[in-house]
Amino acid sequence: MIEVLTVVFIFSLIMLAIFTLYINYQNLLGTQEALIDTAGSASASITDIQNSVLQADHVVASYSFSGTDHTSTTTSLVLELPSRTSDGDIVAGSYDYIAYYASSTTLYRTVEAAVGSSRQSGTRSFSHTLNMLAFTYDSSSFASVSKITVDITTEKVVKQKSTTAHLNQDIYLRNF
Amino acid sequence: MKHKFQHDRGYVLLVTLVASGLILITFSTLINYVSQYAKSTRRAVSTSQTLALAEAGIDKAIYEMNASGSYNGETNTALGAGTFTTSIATIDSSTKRITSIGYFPDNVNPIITKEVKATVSINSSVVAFRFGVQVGEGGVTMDNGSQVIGNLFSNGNVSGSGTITGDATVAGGAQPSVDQEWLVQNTGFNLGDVTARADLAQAFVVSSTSALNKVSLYVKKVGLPGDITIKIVTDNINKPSKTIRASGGLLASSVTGSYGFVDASLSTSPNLTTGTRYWIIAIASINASNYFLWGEDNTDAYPNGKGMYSANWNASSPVWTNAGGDLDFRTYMGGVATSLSGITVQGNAYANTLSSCSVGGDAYYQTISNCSVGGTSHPGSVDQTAAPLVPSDGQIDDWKATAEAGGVVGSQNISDTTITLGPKKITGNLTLSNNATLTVSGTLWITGTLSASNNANIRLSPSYGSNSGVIVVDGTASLSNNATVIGSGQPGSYIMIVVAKNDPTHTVLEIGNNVGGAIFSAPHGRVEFENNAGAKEVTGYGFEMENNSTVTYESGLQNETFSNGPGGSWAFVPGSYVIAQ
Repeated sequence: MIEVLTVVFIFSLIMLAIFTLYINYQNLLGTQEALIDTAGSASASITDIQNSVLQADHVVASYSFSGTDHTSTTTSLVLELPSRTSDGDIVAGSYDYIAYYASSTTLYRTVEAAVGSSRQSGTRSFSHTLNMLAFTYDSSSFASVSKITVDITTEKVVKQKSTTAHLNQDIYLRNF
Repeated sequence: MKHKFQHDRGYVLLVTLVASGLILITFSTLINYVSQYAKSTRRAVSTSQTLALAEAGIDKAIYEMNASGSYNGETNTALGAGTFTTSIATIDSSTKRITSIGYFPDNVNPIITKEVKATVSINSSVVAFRFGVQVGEGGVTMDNGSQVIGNLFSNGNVSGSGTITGDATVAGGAQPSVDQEWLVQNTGFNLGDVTARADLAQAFVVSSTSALNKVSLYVKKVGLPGDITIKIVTDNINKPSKTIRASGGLLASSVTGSYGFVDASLSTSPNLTTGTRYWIIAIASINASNYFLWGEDNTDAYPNGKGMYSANWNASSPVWTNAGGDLDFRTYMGGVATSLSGITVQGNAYANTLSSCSVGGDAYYQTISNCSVGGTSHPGSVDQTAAPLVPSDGQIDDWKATAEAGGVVGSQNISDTTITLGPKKITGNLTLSNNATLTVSGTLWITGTLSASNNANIRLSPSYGSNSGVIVVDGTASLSNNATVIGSGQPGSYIMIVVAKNDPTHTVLEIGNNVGGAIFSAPHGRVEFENNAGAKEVTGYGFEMENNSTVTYESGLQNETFSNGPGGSWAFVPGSYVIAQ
C-alpha cells in the first residue's frame, strides 16, 4: 500500500511539474511568437519603406490613387519615384507613386505605377501589429524634403503581457 | 515476491524517458523559436548591410572613375561582412550607368544579394562664348595689323587701327537720365520760317553737377526743312551767351508732322554745374515753307528758365526776345556715350558713335563721322545693351572648389621637365620655363601668379576627351616666348586660363610673342596681347591688342563645356538610383 501511495505521489509530482512546464512553455511560446511577429513586422515595414524612400525623388503633399486621396502627414507618406523597367533602368519622364498609411493596427502600402513601369499597382498590408507610425521630415516644404525619419512601433499582447518592437531610421531620398 | 518485482522493473526508466522526451520537445521548440527570432533579426541586419555594400560599390566606382579614365568596375571586392561587384556601361561620352551588386556573406554562396543601379555623368559647366572677343567697360584698343577673326562685343569703347572680320558691337554706356524737362504744350513757336525766328532758345538749370549727354526737343515740321543745329551755351544775364559748351544736331528726318520728342546728338558731353543756368539754342535755315514748330507752354510755368528767339545768336550783339513762354525740352545728364573709332569692320557695326572707321556691312549708330559704310546706314539706332562677361564669378568659384577638393600643394617651379597636376589648389605660384611640360589632369587654382616662358608647354590630359579644362589664377598670368597652351588633342578641347584678379586699370593677363591656342579670360582686369600673340577666344574687362596679334574665334565655343575634374568629374545623376533586386 505504501508503495502504491509512493508511486501515486511521485507521479502526481511529475504531472504537476509537467503541467507547470506546459503552462510556462505556452507563455514562453506566446512571448516568442509575439517577439517574432512584432520584430519581424516592424523590420519588414521599415525595410519596405526604406526601399521606397531611397528610390524616391520627392515627397508629394498629396496624390489621388485611383480616386482615393492620400496626403503626406506625420502619420502617412506619399512618395514620387522615377518609374523603372524590369531591368532596373529608369523610364525617363515617368513616375510611380507610393503611399504608406496606417489603419488601426495595420500598415498599408498603395502603389500606382505608370504605364511601362515594372512596379505593380495595388495595395498590400505589412504589419498587423502596428502600434505607432510617425514620419518626420527635414523640411516643412514637402518639395524640399531630402530626409525622412521613420519611427515605427509594433505591439502584441499575449495573456495580458505586452511585447513591443521599436525601430527608428533616418532615410535619405537618393534621387532628390 | 522476488519474481513479482522482477516483472515490475523498468517503470522508472520509462517515466524518465517520457519526461525527458517532453522536456526535450519543449526545449527544442523553444530553441527553434529563439533561433527563428535570431535568424529573422540577423537577416534584417544582413539585408541592410548588403544594400549598404551595393551602395558602397557605386561610391567606389565614382571615386575610381574620377581617379582613372580607364576604370571599368571590379569583381568580388571584400568589404565588411560581404563583397560587392560593380560594372559600368557607357551610355554616351558623358554618361555611364553603374550596376553594383552586394553579396552577403560572399558571391559564391550568397545568403542575401542586393543590386543597385545609378547613372553618373560628367560634372561640367558650359560657358557660352558667343564672340571672338568680349570685353567689359574697359574697352578694346587694337594696334596696326591686329585682327579679330570673328565677332567682337564690347561694353566700352573700341579704338585703334585693327580689323574685325565679323560684326563689331559696342554697347551703349550707362544710360543718361532725364534731369530737366518741361512737357506742358499748349501752342507752338515757329523756328526758321522767317529771319527773326532763325534761332530759338530755352533756358534750364541742372539739378546736379554732371555731364550733359543728350537733349530732346518737342518739335514738329512743316514741309521739308533742313537739320537743326544745336548749341548748349552759358547764360548772359538771363539771355543766351555765345560761350558754347557743346554743339550737336537734330536730324530733320527724325521729325514728323506731329509733335514729338526728338533726340539731338551732342559732339561732346559738357560737364554742367548745379544751380547754373544754361541755354539750348536751336538754329534752323530760313524757309517760309519749310520750317519747324517747337512745342511751347504759353503760361511760362517752368520755374528755371524761359524761351527766347533771335535772328542770329552769334551776332556781335545778339538780340534776344521773349518767346512768351517755355519751349518743351528734356535734358539728360550722366551716362556714358560709347564709340567705335579707327577700326575696320568687315561685317556690321553697332555703336552709339562711329568715327574714322570703315564698315563693310551696315552701320547702326546715333552719331557718325568720317566713316565709310559699305551697307546701309541706320542713324538713330538704339544703343545695344551691355552684356555680362563670361565666365561668371559663380562659375569661377565652382572651379576653385573643384580644384581645392583635389588637394592643396605649394608653389611649383618647373623647368625642363614634365609633370602632371590636377585637380589641385596651388597656394603660391606656378612657374614653367625652359621646355617644361605641364599636363593638366584636373582643374587648377593658383592663388599666386602663373608664368610660362621659353617653350613651356601646358597641355590638357587626353582623359578630358572633347571637353575643355580650366586654370584659375588669383594673381597675374604671363605667357611668353613660344609657350604653348593646348587641349586634349580632340577637336573642341581647349584650356581656359582665367585670371580672377580684380584690377580693372592694370594688365593682369599678358600673352606674349607666339603664344596662342587657348581661351583667355580676365573678367575683372585688362588683357594684353603682344606681337603675334593669338587665342581662340578672349574675354576681359579691357583688352589691348598690339601689332599683328590675332584672335581667331572658333565656331562651337558658344557652348564650350568645361570639365570640373580629371577627365571630367563624374557625379551621381539624381533621379537615376534604382534598387534593382
